[in-house]
Amino acid sequence: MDNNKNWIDQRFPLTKVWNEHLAEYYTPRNFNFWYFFGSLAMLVLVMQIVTGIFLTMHFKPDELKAFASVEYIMRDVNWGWLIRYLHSTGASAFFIVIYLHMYRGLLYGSYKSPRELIWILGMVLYIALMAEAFMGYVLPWGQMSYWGAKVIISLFGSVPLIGPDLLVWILGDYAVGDPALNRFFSLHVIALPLILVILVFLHIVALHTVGSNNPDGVEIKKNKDKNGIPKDGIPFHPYYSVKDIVGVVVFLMIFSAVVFFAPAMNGYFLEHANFIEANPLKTPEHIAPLWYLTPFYSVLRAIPPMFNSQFPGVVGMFSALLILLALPWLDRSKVKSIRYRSWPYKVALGVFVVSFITLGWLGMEPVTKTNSILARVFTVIYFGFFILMPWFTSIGKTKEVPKRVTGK
Amino acid sequence: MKKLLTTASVLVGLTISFNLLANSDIHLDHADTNIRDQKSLQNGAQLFMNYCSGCHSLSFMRYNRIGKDLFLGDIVSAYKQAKTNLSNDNPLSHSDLQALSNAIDNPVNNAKEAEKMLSNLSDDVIAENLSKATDEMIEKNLMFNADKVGSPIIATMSKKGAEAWFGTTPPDLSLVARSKGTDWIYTYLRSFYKDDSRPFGVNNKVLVNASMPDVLWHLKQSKSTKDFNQDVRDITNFLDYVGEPAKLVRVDLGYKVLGFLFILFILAYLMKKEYWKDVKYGKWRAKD
Amino acid sequence: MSEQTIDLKKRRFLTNATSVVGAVGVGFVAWPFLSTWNPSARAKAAGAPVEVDISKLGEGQLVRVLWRKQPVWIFKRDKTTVSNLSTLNDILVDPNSLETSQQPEYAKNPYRSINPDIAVIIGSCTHLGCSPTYRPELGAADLGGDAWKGGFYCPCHGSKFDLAGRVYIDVPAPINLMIPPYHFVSDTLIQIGVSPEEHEVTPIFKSNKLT
Repeated sequence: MDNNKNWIDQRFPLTKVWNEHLAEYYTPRNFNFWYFFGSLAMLVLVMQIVTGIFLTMHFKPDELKAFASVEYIMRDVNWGWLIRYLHSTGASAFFIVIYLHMYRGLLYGSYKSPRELIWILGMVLYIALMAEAFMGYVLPWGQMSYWGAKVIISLFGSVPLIGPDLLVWILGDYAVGDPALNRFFSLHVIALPLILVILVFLHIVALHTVGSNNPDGVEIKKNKDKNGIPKDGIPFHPYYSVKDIVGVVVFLMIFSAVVFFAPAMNGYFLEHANFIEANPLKTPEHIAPLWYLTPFYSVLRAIPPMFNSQFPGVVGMFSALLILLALPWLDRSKVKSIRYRSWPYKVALGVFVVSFITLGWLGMEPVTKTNSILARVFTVIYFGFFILMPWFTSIGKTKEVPKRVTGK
Repeated sequence: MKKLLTTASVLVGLTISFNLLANSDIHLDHADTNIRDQKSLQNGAQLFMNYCSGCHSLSFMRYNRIGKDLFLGDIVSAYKQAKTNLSNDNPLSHSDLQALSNAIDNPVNNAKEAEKMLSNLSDDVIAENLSKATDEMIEKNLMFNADKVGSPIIATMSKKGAEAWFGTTPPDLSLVARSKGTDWIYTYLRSFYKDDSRPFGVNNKVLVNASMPDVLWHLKQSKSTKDFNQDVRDITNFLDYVGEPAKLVRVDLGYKVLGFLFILFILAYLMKKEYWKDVKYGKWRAKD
Repeated sequence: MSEQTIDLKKRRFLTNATSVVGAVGVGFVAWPFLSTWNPSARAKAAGAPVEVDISKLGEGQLVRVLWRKQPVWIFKRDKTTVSNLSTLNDILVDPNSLETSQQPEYAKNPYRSINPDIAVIIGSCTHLGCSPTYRPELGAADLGGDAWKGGFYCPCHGSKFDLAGRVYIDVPAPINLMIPPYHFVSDTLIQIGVSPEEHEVTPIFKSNKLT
């Protein structure tokens, strides 16, 4: 055994990597509930890749066959229904996990120096994941796939000057059709997964360079013992690996409950209208993107057309996403964790969460007068959170941050 | 610029279409179907084949799948009952003998003969014959077209004929329960009313100006409201099953998976607690 | 909290137990994924038995049909061909179909068929799966001259079979060609994919009523 290990170590840094990233990677001892979601996101990514590989074996990216091939998977392929539900539920689970993971970052200031790059890589991951999810959503070629694709892609048509040409270029046709389905399939199964995996790798490399933040926002590397080991650190393996296994099993229980008992989640994970094959002649009664994209869809709808153009709405929607990238520099607070922050930040964060969830809910609802007003109010609040951040993070009294991590 | 306007109009159009949602405010009766009710599914399958399959296809559903999912169980249990009676020296009834005949693919005339035949056959052969018996049952009772038992259920009416007759092609109903829901089907089929302005003399409260005649009219006339409702419920139940045949196994499997994960959870939790003793009291206890 | 002893034995037990149960779980998860590679309901339906009408089949004529995506040859042997079959024993690997189970029980005879004059053979070379060409002409110069009593020649690697699908000695193919299950529905109708035993059952459902 040892001989084999030596043989490999002389040729590949196996033991070195194992130690640096697991057995001797020192992690703060005080991780709480919120710290499960990083490893869970990795789990879901692997699950999506594996189920996706098997779905690809039976799916046909052809506008005449795609819809039927999904039903073929659901009925004729042995266990195909299970693999499809794992994949479709996995898509929603991915976003639930990612949103909680991001919220953890907001709670404990995980994006602040020296972790700006981790945050930025994470945000790029998030945007890539949205593109991945959107393209995957088009593939079953149901009514929602088709009309959702049509609406989202028509956004690109509103870009001044080049819009119409850009639209035709993206579609490879004059409307959503076979060429779009084929290129989305290729991007969904090859290009974007590859990008996601690379970004995850970079995200983790960056994390392991600076080390993890923690609920106290204390840098454990500032306090080391004579061996150079952080006094508040414990090796990731075995302590957090065994802890994460518990988290994984709990997650899988909730996940399985959805897969086996409510895979369509009453239309939130698999929409009713998407069980009707795409029909370019007939728009479904009500169109909304899947729940994880709706906050941004709300922003889009909230901004009225200006100068005969929908473009400002599109700019608004993308700004809502891109502004997240600036977060590390908008936050002027000296402390990281919410535990020691001043009250204005706590209030602002609470209001922000409410506005994000409300925008998400509004994005699924039909447009009414009240809804439009609400969407505008919450869009202003959403942007207000970021624009006013330099101000509200520098006022109010912060609590003193302890030298060492607290908690048991 | 034209494209730009098109884009804007698509968005505006969508926005307007949200307001049309008000249409779907029609009250739907609760279908109250139960996918575990085998008898109801069997009745629904028969009614569907008799009243609906002339015009509506279930192009994602194969005949033999219906046999396997809805009828095989009955045949297997009849066989098991017959075998139990045989081994208990109970007199075999006519239906027992028939069940045994079905299972071993040979007419069995008396108990002695049955015993001898059964002892010669392996379980695999019996299982295979039972499933073949099911296929034949389906062929005799549900397949009105000259299809193979593995073919999907395709309407007898041609597409051209349909367009001449109804002005539109009757939709495929494989997924209607998933797109419209069971309550919709149940209410729709019971909501036809007389309207002489329509081509077939009937209109529908749920789907206004539906181009479908009231095909269940005869059934409605000949039965009590309660029995008629049950028939419609059975058709609805069958369509719910057709929408997702895997539903029959999905939920049961779910309980098993959750049970397994619960055991794994207990073990994983105890393991975590054991390791974290190092952090609480052992070598990784917080040092000053 | 007072110092507690750390029970390494308990720890090892829990680690092993969790690993074993986890591995069982992974096995359970792997099963559905691997199962997706088995023939789907569609493939099974497409592989259903096929019927071939041989009423118009002339002597020496060969028709090819697809059964389970494999070529199946049905051809009629004339009297000379049938009698020639028994003269080839010395140059065949397994003339009496004794050594390999490449045929159902009812085709275990020198003709490898139910009726001596009607041959039903899967046209897939037992070497690497090419489909051999039909060469019924006696004494073909390129296939051994006078010794050639008609048969099949595989263009891929030169394997030779006689008109009962029996393999010649010293060719790459090791065993005889496969005979599929089949039976005669009538004198002029063959069903491929169903054996005579399977067919010879009386219809079982007498009643036309369900339940």
